[in-house]
Amino acid sequence: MAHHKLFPVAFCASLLLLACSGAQNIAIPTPAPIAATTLTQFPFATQATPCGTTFVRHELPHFTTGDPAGTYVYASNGSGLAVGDLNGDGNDDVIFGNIAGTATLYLNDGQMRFTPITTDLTDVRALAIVDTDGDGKPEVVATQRFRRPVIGELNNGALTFHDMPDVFSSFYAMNWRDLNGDGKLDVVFGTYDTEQLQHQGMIFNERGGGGIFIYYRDGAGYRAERLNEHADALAIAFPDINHDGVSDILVGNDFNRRDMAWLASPTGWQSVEPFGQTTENTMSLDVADVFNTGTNVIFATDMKPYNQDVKTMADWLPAMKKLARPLTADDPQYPENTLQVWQNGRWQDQAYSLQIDASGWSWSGKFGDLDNDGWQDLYIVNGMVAKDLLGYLPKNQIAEPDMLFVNNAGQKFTRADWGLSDSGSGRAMTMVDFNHDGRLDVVVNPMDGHAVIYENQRCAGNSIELRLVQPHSANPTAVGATVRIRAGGQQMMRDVREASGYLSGESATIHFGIGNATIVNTIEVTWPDGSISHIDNIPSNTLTTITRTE
Amino acid sequence: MNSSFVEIIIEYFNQLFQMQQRQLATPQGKVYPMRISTIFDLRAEWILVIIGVIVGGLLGFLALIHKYPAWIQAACVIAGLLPAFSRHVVDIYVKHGWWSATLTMLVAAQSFHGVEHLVQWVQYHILRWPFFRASGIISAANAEWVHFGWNWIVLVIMIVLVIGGLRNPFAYLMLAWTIAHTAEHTYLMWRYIQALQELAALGVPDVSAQGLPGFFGRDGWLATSDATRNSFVCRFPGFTTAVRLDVHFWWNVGETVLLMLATNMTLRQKNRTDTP
Repeated sequence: MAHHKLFPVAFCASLLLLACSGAQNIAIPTPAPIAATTLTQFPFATQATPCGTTFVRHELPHFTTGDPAGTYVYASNGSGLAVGDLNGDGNDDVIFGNIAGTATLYLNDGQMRFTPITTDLTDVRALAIVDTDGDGKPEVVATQRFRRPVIGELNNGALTFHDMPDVFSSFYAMNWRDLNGDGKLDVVFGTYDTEQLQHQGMIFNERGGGGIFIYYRDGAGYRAERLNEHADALAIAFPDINHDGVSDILVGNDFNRRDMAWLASPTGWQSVEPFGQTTENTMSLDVADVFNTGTNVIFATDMKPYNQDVKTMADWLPAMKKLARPLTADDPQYPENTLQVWQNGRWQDQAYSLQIDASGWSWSGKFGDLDNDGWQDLYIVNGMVAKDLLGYLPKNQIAEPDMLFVNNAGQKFTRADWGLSDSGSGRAMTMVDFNHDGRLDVVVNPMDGHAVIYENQRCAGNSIELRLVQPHSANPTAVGATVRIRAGGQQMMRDVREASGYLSGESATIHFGIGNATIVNTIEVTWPDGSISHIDNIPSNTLTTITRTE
Repeated sequence: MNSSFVEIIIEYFNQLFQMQQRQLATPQGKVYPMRISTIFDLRAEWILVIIGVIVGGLLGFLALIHKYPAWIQAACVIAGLLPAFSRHVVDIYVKHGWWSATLTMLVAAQSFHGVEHLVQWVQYHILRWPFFRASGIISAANAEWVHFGWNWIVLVIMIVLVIGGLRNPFAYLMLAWTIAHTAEHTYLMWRYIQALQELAALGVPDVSAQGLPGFFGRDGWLATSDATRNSFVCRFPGFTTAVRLDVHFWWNVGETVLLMLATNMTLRQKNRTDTP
């Protein structure tokens, strides 16, 4: 009798299982549409720059300061920078933010000569040079302390700013990406609540507090979605956390506020905690394919002295005593850099085993192939200056050499100098080829110091640089596109992004070192809408613009 | 000069050891076999134990209601048991001599110290307390100089006991282990004092340098030294990865277990020799 009752249930369950398994068996992946392209190529100006073994330091007049009488905590977090071709001459320009002073734009003539343009912009945090409205002319976007974000346009040699439409809060970190697939660039903003609370007190909370917000482009303005209500966001990145082929959102928080992640899903943004161990005071985030496996790793910086000798520890201990908060043993946060590597279906931190866990009081940490050997190296700027926190130290400063870790064929990282071990108090930093010689230069906006460009004069391997253009799109520089190349037996991957590291805007030109290879065998571009373009046999040492024709 | 001095010391302890061997047979001619369980056997002092528990418990309760820290409450209870244990040690001294009494004190103290580290481990890994709170039962004693002093005392007593007859493979291993453990604490103490001097030079007298990494474990000398980075040493489990609390937990697990094994082996041998 009991068997009779169970039979219909079992029959239905069997049918359901059959249907499910059948659906899996007959599923045919939809091929991505092929996008046609045209190419424009320019050889690098390799003869124009001298050859050597190091980077050559160029100090610019721009001087970022938190307070001429002595910088205090929070102001000491410094200000951002951004690179991008603002005047459309084919050269990446650079803008440096400032806190107590004003931001300065430097127009690049492509030969390491820069023309300064002063602005009236102060209290700057993050900067980006991005085409927000898709008109083909990029703008400068800046977040500011205790003020609304602003957009600046270069007209008649002057950079003038206006408030960003529909955005009424003050934000710290930002990053840009088409997050809803409508072809327009959206922006994710994050607040820095600890500073806001100190400045405004409980009024900040009564006004609604802060958090992480997505502003979707909507007509001439923006439509907001709030992902949460509290943040100390110093960095925002868009890694594919669950490896479903879609960019997700990762927010790095300062102090011991845990980092936050949201997965893109058909029902909206799903909050997740994907990492077993994270940084405690996340200062910057970078996403890169450092092992040339076609899979990105996620690198985050924190504060941990590289040298643990007693002198260094004594310099750090009083500040750490003030800043450190008790964490339980099951808390995933640990005050050191992390390198999250996707292995066996989960993220595992490998920074300690690769000995890149300690790089001082670190701020921007980013990957780039600085010696064109086909492997992305890691450069981290560091240092701290604050009258109230470090008043017991000479010049109120922890001064440490910036850290360069050379990637040895993906096996290990070894420390090197290459003229990049500056002891200034670095904050924002990015890598860009300013003079079209095929080598990544480094640009830094320090705190209480002059802006610095390190000209790469290491004449090592070959390289190629790519610019992606979508002429009839609201996202003309193809932010969010992924490029995979094969050269010299190696596969490499990069993506087009607007920001990475700490408060640092990125160039839309992407760079691949290819070692001794003289030709790039294949290039595969995955455009932001998922379309794919294939290009074969690109000669090395060229800047190639790939323009989408449909 | 040095070697003759060492010889004199060894001879002194040898004579003491022989004297206590003779004392094993009491004036009445009765031999009291001593086992490792004898060390922890307080049944003969049961009245003092009960009084100690009651008095210590009451003091602990008073400390609790007067909101003294938890370690003071625990210390009250432990202190209550000290009279009973002291009488027990005196009894062993009378029956078995100074060597056995010293061994009893060392085994009991090291066992308690091992329990302290076990409690720390449980507080951190099981109860998930923050690192700074996971300081064992008598948390105020979790200080660099206490660990340093403790390990030197253990080492000196261990040397005395080995000279006095604690001689078997476990005892020699224990001695080597204790020397290594004490060396690590000496290194830690040296760094601690240097860091305090640096802090004082910076005009910061109120910050402790407690908890710096030592030879072993995460961020320790082996993990960060150019001589050992990337070497085979880093492949031993925990050598360059364990947190400080775990490093010292395992130091003390090793020390306690080896001491127990060495004691057990020696006492068994002695009992066989002494039995008429």
